[in-house]
Amino acid sequence: MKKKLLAMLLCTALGVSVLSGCGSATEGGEETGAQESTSVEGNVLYHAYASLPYVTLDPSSENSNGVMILKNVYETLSYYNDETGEVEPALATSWTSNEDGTEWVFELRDDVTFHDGTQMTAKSVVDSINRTMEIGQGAAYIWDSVEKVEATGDYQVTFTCSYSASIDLIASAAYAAYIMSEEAAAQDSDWFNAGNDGGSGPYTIAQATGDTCVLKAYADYRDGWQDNQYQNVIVREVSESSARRQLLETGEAQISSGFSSTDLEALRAETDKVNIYEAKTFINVTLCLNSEADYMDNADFRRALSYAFPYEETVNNVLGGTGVQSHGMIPSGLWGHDDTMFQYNFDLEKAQEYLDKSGVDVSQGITLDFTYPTGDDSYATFAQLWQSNLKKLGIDLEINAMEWDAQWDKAKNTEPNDRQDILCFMWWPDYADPSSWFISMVHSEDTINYGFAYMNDPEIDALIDDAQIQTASNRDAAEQDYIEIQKKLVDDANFIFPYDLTTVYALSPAVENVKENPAYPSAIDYYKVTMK
Amino acid sequence: MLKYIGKRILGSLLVLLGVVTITFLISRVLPSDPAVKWAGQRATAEQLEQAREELGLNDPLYMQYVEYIGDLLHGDLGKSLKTHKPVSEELGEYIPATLELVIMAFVLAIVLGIPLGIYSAKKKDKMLDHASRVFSIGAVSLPTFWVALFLQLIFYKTLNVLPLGGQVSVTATIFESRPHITGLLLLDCILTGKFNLFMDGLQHIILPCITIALYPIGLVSRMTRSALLEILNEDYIVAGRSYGLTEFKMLWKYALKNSLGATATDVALSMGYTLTSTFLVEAIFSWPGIGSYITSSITSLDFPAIIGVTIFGAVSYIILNLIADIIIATDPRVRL
Repeated sequence: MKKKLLAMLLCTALGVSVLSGCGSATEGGEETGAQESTSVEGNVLYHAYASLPYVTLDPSSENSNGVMILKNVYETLSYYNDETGEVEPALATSWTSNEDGTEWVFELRDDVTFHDGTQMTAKSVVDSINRTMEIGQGAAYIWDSVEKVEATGDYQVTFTCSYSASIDLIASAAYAAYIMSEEAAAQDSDWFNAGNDGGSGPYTIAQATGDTCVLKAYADYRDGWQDNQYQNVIVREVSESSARRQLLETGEAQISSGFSSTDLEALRAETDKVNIYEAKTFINVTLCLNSEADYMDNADFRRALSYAFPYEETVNNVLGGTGVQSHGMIPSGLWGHDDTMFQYNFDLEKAQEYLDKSGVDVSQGITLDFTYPTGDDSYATFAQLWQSNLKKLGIDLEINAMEWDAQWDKAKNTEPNDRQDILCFMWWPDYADPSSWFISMVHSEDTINYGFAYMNDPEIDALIDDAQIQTASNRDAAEQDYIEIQKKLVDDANFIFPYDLTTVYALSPAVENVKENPAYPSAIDYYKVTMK
Repeated sequence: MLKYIGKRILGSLLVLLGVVTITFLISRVLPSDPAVKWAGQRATAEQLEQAREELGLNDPLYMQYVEYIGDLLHGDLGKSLKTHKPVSEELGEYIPATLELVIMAFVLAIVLGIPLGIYSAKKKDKMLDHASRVFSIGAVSLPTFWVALFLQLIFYKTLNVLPLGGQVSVTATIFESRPHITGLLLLDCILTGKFNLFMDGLQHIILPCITIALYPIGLVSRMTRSALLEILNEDYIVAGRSYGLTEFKMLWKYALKNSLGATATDVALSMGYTLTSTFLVEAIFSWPGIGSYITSSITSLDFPAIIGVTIFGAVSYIILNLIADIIIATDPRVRL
């Protein structure tokens, strides 16, 4: 009996201590976010992220979500300011290039120290870029034009390119352009993935466990620290939308995004608990029309398809406010975008008019093969709406969800009619340069890679080539080239441009200055985020 | 007995080989190119070719298979196509968290399920039995994701007494150094005397543990009840009673002992299943276990990781099945 009583007492004590532990955590300000953000020890910014925060922490090869971590730990030579549309100095103080953009000289800052205490010199820059080029993984191809990079002074680096390239823009890339200490540049990926870093940014990596990454303030950061900045940042995967929503509602997390439309709607209504921030991105969804396939080689037929697309319904109902209708190929906010550019709107009468004009006989039935990559339900939803519109014109749309590699494989088929008729995918630039879209998707190719409209227009090719050269020396002229190309593409309806994506963030009212620069997708500059 | 165990191990190895072979073949016939996964969505032709070479994809299928089995025998499960890290290393990072959760859940299931089953059998067709039946059937039939969300709503959002998810709090993650001895957080905290972190971890494991435990609690209690009811009508129980042995002694000492064989088998098999099917619970509670690894591997068609997880699942089943068989075999009434 005594034993029983003792066991019961122990159980009760354990239960009480566990629950009181929870209670006291709340009272003591260690557990709830609102208190976390103001207490001394709890100077913590909690970013609840929808998926794993990184794939690898190797700054040379990471080409995924990890930019959100790396951008706060490492720095680049230059930085793209999305508000001015200009490339600004970062680790470099200035740069010059020769007229055809094949030689670039960068002058470097002399006050930069890495987290390992060493100073940045020209050698660190050379070692970092050479390491990235040698590894050749991820977005290392952005340096393809670089023949050699060499230190031409203690704080001067010279790039020699085999063809004209805008190295100032390339050096500002979100991936593969990070500068690290000489010691770090000599390490392999395992060293970085063990949670080590060799950056010069405001934060160091304190902990990295796959689903969680903890960043701590780099005390010697050259711009110093203010009391209202966050000394600790934790980015943790919280895959459930409802869980992220609750974390924000209770004030435990300060930043989150990627909500389901139901949760987003609810969060938008909770103006006292949550602030909503809609960030523009340079990511857009494009439908490439196979201009070599039967019927699709007819521009009027393609125009008919373009007029039958449900643009408004897609943006308003399918995306639930996480996208805006595109105007041309280049997303809003990136140089080369033109808001006044003509865009098709849903108009079934016009679609019928162009179908008649095309001379394509639909009476026997026409089936078009539409492929999209799995993983995003919105593609299927807007495709079904489009399918229903096309049905009214007598055209069947066969919707096929495919793994990207299988979709890509089919698109690369050398026989035009064995490829898809319409390929849907998402595109974003490796750095803030519209050339990414045009070189990859529009310029003619000897071997099919990303040119899924299968275009071969010498006039457009010449404009793209010219724009590339002009980017290095005369950006305004390059911009005009890109606008002209887009006008042609829209007129010939080689592509359908449904929408540019926006990222909707829900933020705790306890924080301010949260901003995502579209040139650095998913990356919040935590150094600029402050407590209210 | 040893011969029996030897036979069972040999049979299990054949099952394992079959599982590995089928999974390997499926991974090669699916319309997916591992080289693209390895090199990235925007890989250049050179990067893709380099990836094919590195992964041995240019070799004939039988050579790839022989090489894979050879590596497997050396404990090498290959590298993840997504992270480029060894799969065995990644499994080593994720398995302990799941193991800890599942062990806790099954301890809870046994601690609560067996007494519930006993009292239910003892009070057959009484109020307690009916209540136990309703609870058990409810526990078995309620979808785990619903239970998980419900518990979060009550204990986190409404009462704010337990955390929403994660293995430890954000504060503890940052300010407490985590001990690494066995990989099981709570055990490591006890071993190193980290009481604060232990309490933090304990708070975090409660809700996912209850969610996972509900099904086995229902199962164990129903199995115990039905086995006991059968045994309570046996002659030796009647004889015991007539000798004047107390009901408590009869039930706990003589009847229960003989009824546990079937329950143990079910618990073992159910545990094997739970080890690889916790992904929904882990996703909802942001638990850094194998479930999230499985989900991410499947959604990205990371075949080496998928095969690794499959092998882990198969090995878990085989070991637990073997344990169940041995438990049954220890019963002298069973002829091997």
